[in-house]
Amino acid sequence: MSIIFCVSHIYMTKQEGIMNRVREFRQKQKLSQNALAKEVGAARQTINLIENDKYNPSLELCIKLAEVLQTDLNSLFWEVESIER
Amino acid sequence: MKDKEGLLIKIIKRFYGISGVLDEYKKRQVEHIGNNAFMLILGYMMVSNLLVMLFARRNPELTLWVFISCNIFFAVFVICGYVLLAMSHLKLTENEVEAKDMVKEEKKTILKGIGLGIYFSVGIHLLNGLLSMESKEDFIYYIVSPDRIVASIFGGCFFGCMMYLLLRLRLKKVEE
Repeated sequence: MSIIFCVSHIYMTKQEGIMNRVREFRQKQKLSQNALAKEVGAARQTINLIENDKYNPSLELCIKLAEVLQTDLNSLFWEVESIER
Repeated sequence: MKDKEGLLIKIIKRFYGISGVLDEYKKRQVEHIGNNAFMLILGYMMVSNLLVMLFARRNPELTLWVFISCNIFFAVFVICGYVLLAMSHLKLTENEVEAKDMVKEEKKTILKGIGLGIYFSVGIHLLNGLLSMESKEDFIYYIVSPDRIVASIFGGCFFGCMMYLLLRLRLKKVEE
């Protein structure tokens, strides 16, 4: 029983961090990564990393992204404490 | 939304070989790499100075030459090597160019290669002239010597070609 619990616990690992919907809003606005990067004064690589949840942007960049994507911070970013896979 | 770059930003970009905008992600990575390099240098300095103190009395001249050689080796190969590897691993040196601007950027790269080659030729020619004064050779005679001029031009051509290749490899076409 304990083995099953351990295996299931390992399988249902926690995914924590800041999630975002930058890609979704960007596509809605019909902007390319490059165009969005130019609008917010960042590099395309940074936008790509943000979209793939590999980099947490600063508050300043978050606000700029929300402004350009015409949305608010709560819709664009949220914290994930635990997601069971 | 493009801010004007300050002198410090320009120096950082040139020093680390960053192309394009130095945004917060790149800045953070550069700070991280710089911090690691600093810790490496500090550790090396402490150990090397301790060793110099131990051996300086017995054989000061040899110790000095070994110390200088080790410093140059450490700075050029270890620190610069680490910075170069880390920068290329994080893809911070890539120069992303839109497909429509690729031809223009390639031309710019050729011009940069030629410019750097000329700078190198002139710089190395003058530097060699100054160094020749140490061996009691006349500076003016060295500067106007056709053999030395040709050698400097060849050196400049090689350096320019290498820099062109390096810059060309960093160009990355981005599709819209």
